[in-house]
Amino acid sequence: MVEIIKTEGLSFQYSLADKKSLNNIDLTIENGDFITLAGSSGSGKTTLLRQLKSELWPVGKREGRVLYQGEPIDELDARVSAQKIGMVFQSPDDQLVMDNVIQELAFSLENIGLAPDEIQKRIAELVNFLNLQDILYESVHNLSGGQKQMVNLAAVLILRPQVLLLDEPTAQLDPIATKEFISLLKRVHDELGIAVLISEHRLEDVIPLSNKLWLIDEGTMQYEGDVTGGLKAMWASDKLTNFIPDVPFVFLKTGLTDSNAISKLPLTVDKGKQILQNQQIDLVGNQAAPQATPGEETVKVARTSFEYTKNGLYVLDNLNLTVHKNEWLAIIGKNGTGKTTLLKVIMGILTPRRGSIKVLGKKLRSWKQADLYNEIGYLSQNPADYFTYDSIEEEFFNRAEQLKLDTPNEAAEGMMAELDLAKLRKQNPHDVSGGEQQLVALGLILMSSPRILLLDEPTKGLDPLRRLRLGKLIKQLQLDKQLSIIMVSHDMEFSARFADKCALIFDGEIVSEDEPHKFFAGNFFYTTVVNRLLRNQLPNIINREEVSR
Amino acid sequence: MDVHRKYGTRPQRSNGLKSRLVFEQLNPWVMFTYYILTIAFSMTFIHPIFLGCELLIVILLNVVSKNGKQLVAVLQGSLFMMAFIMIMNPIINNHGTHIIMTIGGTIITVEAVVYGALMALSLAIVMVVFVSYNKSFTSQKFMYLFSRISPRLTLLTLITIRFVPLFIQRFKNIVTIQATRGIQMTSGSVKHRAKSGMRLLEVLLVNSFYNALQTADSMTARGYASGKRTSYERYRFTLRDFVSLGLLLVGSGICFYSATKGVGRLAIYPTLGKVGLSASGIGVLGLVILIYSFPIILEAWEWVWWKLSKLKG
Repeated sequence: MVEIIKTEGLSFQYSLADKKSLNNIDLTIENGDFITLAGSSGSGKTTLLRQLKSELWPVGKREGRVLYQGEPIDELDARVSAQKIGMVFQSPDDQLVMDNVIQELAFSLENIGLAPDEIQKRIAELVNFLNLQDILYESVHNLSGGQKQMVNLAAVLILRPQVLLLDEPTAQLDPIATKEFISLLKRVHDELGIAVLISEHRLEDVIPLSNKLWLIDEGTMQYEGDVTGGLKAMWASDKLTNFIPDVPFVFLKTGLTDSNAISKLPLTVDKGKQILQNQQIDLVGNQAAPQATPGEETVKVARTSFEYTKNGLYVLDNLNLTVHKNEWLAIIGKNGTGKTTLLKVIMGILTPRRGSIKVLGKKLRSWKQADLYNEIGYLSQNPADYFTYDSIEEEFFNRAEQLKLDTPNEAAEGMMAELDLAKLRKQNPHDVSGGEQQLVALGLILMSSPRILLLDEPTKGLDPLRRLRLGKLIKQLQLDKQLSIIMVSHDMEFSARFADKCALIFDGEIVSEDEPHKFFAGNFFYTTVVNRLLRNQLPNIINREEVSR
Repeated sequence: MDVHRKYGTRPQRSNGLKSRLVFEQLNPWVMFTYYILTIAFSMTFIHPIFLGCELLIVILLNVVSKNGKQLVAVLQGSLFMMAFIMIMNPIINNHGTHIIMTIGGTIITVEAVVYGALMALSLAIVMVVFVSYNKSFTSQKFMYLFSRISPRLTLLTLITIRFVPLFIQRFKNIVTIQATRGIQMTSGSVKHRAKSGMRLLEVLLVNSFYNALQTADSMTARGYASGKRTSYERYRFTLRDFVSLGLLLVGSGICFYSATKGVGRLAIYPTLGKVGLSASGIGVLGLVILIYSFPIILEAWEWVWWKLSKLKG
């Protein structure tokens, strides 16, 4: 194996930080590697990836060395570095520079000063490889998130890199787009022999492709080696257990790996099923009991239709929906099926063309807007939109004052304590991690003590640990405050675990709705990984906590 | 291929195909000259007939290049600004000799009203020209022209321009979200609204700044500013470009020269002059119309050529 990038005793400390973000890291990326870098948010994944590309070095104190083919990486010519080491970032939108796709592809090549003929040739080649011809002249604003990310990858591939660094490239994508992106990445790796280093916290899709797994925690490498060993190391660590994908998790949890001499952990549903069948293993399922007892109706949407333009498409089409007090309803469905639109219609932000919506027994139209917004809290996909002040505590104090609460300071303090945000109080809300931003926004919403909570993709971009915490927290709030929660999400595992009811939205209608176990057991494609794995023996089991031996 | 859904068909893609206006196939220098000239004319010839013709032609240009939707949006938006200028100018400015009335010691003169209206018209033309510019003058062309002069400044400008649609999209989101927490511009006293508006803008700018950092990283990672750039689209300077540019420059030279002599400029202060045009005024007007309609003439010639070739065939 030929080594491409190597770090020797690499440590790094951001210039204003009081402790090191990376600690004495020795790593090697070799030709043909497909490496998954796992770790919770803020563990140093991004910092590490940036150290491997000298143009992106953050400001701070660096010790040790980073070598590219034996040469110090910062002595590499800027043009060579741009071509040989490619990097793809998280946000699909913010990486695009030009107006349309072909210009975006050409931008990279123009930067390194290639002749027009060569540029044309390379674009032609790549467009054929990635099948981009249909969107070649499309404006980048019209592309879907998955397409944007594909263009971002293409704009790097066109430089013919030797190694590809990807920083949580699928965090903002829905599950289908994620799978498409990852399978594209597999082609790039398999057919072009480009080494890949990808940082991820949803490991399910990338791990089956990887030959190496790196675990990082608080800037220190915890593990470096093959995937099975890595998963076992994760199982042994408190923090990283939650990061293990469902299939290997079930095997680790039930202790099958120790007794049955399974040397290689299964990573896909297919492999897992084979082992269970061949070795005739029977697992035990304990179906979780429902936690909440729903009360009276709080939101009732009846025969509601919505279109964005006159004679447009009906995004919602004769939709009926009822939610009760102390009930968490999860609405799942593909992108563009009207999930977010539905929430906005319930909020009164969009006016439906037909139908009636009642909130707390009163027609939506008869509500005064300010009163309605105190009763319904809406958590959008982008929590940064909620922030207006320079520190988290200011956000809370001002929110309390704005609501004219009797004891604003106590209320603000209380909410920060409840959501465990007190330690971050002096920080700028924009500087904290995605999960923490989500919590701050949630806290601001809860200040008005709403009785109904609308959540739009609350788990997007969260690592599994924070996702679990958020779920538990919202569940607790639901039970304590008797909230009605309507959540729209792609996240089936999350819905299966926390919701009291799940509904599938398709073509503007709710096509099926039931208690999670019945809902998922009745589905074949649209169901959780655990359900697909254990369908033959335990058809009613939908999440991994319910499996034992 | 149309995708049939339950109701209707999927809307046509707007920019999916290469642009095929003749004007857009010219060398970027010629196109840029045209836009500079149109804007310069709208500011030079402050005269109702001139401005009226110019506005009609640029609207027609946008219709020809199928920008109807953006055009309507921009016209609606500029209506407010036009009204603002038309009202504010007479109140602030009380030069002139023809007095209409006095309101509380403020003298409203015909001159000030006319001047305000002409300014508003001129502003509307500039805004409509920008609609066409945005559609036709791609960032690729902009880079081709200016990246050799100052790569950094070009990029800065480019990113700023690119951010406008993103900005609007984000601003809409922020307005909605903030409204759910009681910060909005649609109710309350003027002071309250202004304060809310400032807050919203602040959120927008801070958010956008955080996002722009990643754009900068993505550009650096792909070798921007690593040395001299090239351009993949070869904009040759053909004979057609040369002739077009020559005609534009000579024609506009005559126009500007006449303007310095006062042709095509309505005398407003101190006393409102006559609106009617002299013989030379009509000549210059014709020239200005020709220059403004340059892209439309090219398109019309294309149309005629195809008609003729079909007749022959």
